Amino acid sequence: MTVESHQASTKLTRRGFLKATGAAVGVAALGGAGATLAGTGMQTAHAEAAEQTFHSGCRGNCGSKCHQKVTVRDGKVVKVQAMDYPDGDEGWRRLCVKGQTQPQRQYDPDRVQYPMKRVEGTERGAGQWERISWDEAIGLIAQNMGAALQTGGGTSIGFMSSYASYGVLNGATGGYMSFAYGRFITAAGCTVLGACSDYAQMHVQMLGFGQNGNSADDVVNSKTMIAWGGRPDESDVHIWHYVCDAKEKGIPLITIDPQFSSTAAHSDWYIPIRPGTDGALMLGLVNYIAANQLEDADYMRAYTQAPFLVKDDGTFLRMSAFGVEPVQGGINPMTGQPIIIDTPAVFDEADGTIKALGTEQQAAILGTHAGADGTSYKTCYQECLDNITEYTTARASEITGVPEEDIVKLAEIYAQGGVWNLGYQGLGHHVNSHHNYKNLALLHAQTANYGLPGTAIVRNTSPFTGISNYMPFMYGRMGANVPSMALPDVLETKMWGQTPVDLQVLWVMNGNPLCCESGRLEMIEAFKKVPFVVTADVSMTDTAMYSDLVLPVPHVYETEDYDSGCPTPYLMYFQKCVDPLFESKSDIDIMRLVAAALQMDAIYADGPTDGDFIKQIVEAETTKQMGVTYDMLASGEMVRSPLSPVSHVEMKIGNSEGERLKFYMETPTPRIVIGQEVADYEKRPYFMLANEAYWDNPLRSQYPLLGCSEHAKYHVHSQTAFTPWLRELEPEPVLKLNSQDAADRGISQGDYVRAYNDRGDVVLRVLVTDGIMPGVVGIPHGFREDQYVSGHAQNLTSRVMNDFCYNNSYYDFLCEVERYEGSVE
Amino acid sequence: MARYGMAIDTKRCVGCNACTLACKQANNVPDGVFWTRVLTDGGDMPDTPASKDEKLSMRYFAMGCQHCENPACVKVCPVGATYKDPETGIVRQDYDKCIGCRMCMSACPYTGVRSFNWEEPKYSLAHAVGDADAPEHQKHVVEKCTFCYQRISKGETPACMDLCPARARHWGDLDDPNSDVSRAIAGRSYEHLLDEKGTKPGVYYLV
Repeated sequence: MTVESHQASTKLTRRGFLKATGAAVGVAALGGAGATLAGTGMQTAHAEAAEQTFHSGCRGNCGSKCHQKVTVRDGKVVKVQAMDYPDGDEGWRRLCVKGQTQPQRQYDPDRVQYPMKRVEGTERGAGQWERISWDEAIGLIAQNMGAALQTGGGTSIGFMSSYASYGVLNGATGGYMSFAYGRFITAAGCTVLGACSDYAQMHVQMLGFGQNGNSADDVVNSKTMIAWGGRPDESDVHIWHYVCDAKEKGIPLITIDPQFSSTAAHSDWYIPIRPGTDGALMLGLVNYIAANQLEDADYMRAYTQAPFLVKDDGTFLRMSAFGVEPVQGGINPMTGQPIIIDTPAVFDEADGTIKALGTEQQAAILGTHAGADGTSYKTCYQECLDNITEYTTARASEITGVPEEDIVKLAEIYAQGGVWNLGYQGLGHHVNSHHNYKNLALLHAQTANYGLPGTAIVRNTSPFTGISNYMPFMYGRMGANVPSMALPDVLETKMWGQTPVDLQVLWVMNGNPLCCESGRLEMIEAFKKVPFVVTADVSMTDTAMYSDLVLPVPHVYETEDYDSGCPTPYLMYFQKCVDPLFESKSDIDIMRLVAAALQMDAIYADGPTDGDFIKQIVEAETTKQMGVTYDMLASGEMVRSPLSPVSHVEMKIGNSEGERLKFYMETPTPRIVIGQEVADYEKRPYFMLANEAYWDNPLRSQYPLLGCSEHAKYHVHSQTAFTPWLRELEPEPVLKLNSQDAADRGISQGDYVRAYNDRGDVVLRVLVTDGIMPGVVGIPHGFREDQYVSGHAQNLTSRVMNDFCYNNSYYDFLCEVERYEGSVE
Repeated sequence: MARYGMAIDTKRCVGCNACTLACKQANNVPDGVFWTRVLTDGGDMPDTPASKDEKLSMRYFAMGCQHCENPACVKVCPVGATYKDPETGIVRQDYDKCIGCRMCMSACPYTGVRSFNWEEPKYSLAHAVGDADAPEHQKHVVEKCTFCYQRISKGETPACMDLCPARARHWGDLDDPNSDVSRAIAGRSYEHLLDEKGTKPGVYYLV
């Protein structure tokens, strides 16, 4: 049977949601189960049936991971509330506007209901689907995977994921960290096509420097809060009440943002800044603080890399250079390898000699110092300062558009200490972004704004420690680790580094890259070149539309899972509340079937039930002494992580090398090493212009507007794109355009506009506002193709990445906007 | 006897609309109807600021029925369907008595807090969500916020109060100085919407 495509239904839906009765139209058009009742607008009556509650949560992964109390009546989920937290922990209780809509998302007309195959002879993306059985679907997969394994080996099967739906059974953290996918990928040596979003921050700040922040309730201990590269009001609303507590204590809030967010509206000082220039502002502040000796020298000496001496090759002078044998200092818990301690040398101002860190009276943080053999070394701080002299406050002002006197004022606030930065990934969406995290680290190092109460370099999204042991995910090794946006290159060269990657099968799970990631049009073309594309998803995503086979997976309430991420002190276990709807099967059940069809059953043999696998995570040799059992989690009680005994977490800072605040990368290592050259500047705080979106780019004569976007309050990736209540609040995507830019183009409030550049275009309604800087446009994130009049917001963006951290650059584009005269019907 | 009221702290509210949908969910509010919603005090569109002398400003007001002490709606209802509940001070709507004349809607100065179901209410979902004992929605009657009567009659709080992410909402008996709402109002400046209408709202906006 040929099924009228989901694309048709969602096209109806786009129009429909603009009318009050839209959702019913969408359901009726689907022709699926329950359509008639909803189509008439009638509902089953409230029954006096018994209710049952379950403990589940949001797997959407905005980072908040809200524990939810889910009420089931007559076999259906009818209510979602925030789980109650024990006394003293109420501040971590959380549920947002999107959480309130979960019953609608679960019973969404947009859900994939049964396995579907692209109709033979139709173009990929044409939207013609044939309903098939699971047997046929698994048969097709086995046939394609089997052939790929024989001809191209494991790397010819690629698994692509993003950040949606974390979980140790069915999720795909890091591309393969789950039983469902990790076992298969590592057993067959497949290619992982991992997400690129947020890697500027993750590669430098989180993994490179190991920096994190105090838990959000610490903001009340600060002197000044700065929302720089983040808007807690929208993208992390659950920490906002702590910000309010601090404001009520009289602690000022400053917002640095190209857009006047709600956080900005609540701020004492709003500083608009040109997108992509934050790094220059940071260096302007650093230089002003250094030039005026406003540093906290004692802090820099004691707790940062500032006094370390740098050799000509950029590495630190260490005591092995003076014949001191390195010693072993325990085992690195991440690598399992011994930690070798080769103590850095510092220059002691007390006696003018170079000696081992920890033996000096007063280490120099500035200057060039000669050792006994006459060789001179700069301190690390001096080395950094000498390379950023160009960025004076005047130059920073030119680049950022922030008045020089404001930069001076901000520097003086920073220098007073007690600065708590509420920002996060907003600094991370340009090609030049990863430098921001080095620059910010240097600024916070100068001003003692890290590792002390009431300070933070970044808000901590996951301050508490969960219980996990990732080893059971592995059955061998992955074949190749490719950043997902490099897909077009891999298809072209059939190589990744030195590894042959002849992709025959592409499997997309836990993500909707053709909607949510940048460089969309190039990625679609790449998808079309892969012989066989499978998407496993809850709903009919843009990515599913460009697949050959679409597999229905359950909503979080329909399967059990466990997520070791712990943004609150309680372990995130998801109880199964109802059976999977329609014909959906969990990712792990699908992979069990695929493995069986390929005679690879052995890889899942130790987990006949899902619970057996979760047991391996929490009751492993390394974790069982914590005392948490699978049965405790499965009971549905709130189980506190024994690793997080207190509700308030502060980063620790110390004098040993490993405990110090880092802003310098002694041996900068790319996210994925494939023999690429690493530029010298990767070591140091640095500024470079964005790839495309910078003020003096000659391309602005053609495309004058700089891109920008946000993690908006009604969206988590594209997961709530069609959720009816959210679309009542925000019916359609809008492009934010400054009032002056609109007037210059003859555009009025409510008009439809076309935004375009050489890559592509999008037609959508405009929101004319003074809440965005002149010269900047804000594109929506999280709407799907059919919700635009035509095109897609991500058609404007590029997949240009640096090969150091392979980061999505969502904001790094220029475009022009014109009034759209065509029909929007 | 009680006089239930609410205080909403505009210095905390960020217009996230969690309360809006908590209400929709708990009361199975039909498509296109809002018993409470968040209004932007700023530019000409939601979530946009006002601009004056190069200064931008924006505030949010979560607005539903104000449960007035002197309700304009009660005075005009010809059949007593809109009435002030003496036990709770809540302005209630008796669907069985309502004849759909919509006089209450014209009299109420707070535009949009009441809606009239011209047709059979419609829902995106095929099954009812929310509280099992929430009253069913009916065609040809006026409906509005009930302060979640089904909940408060069991000693619970209204759904919008259950978890405001900004902790901006306070609820309780205005006559009880120890109630959450009374303590929130004490010592704070507040505004009533359209104070000049003399309706004496039970909703206090802390400013």
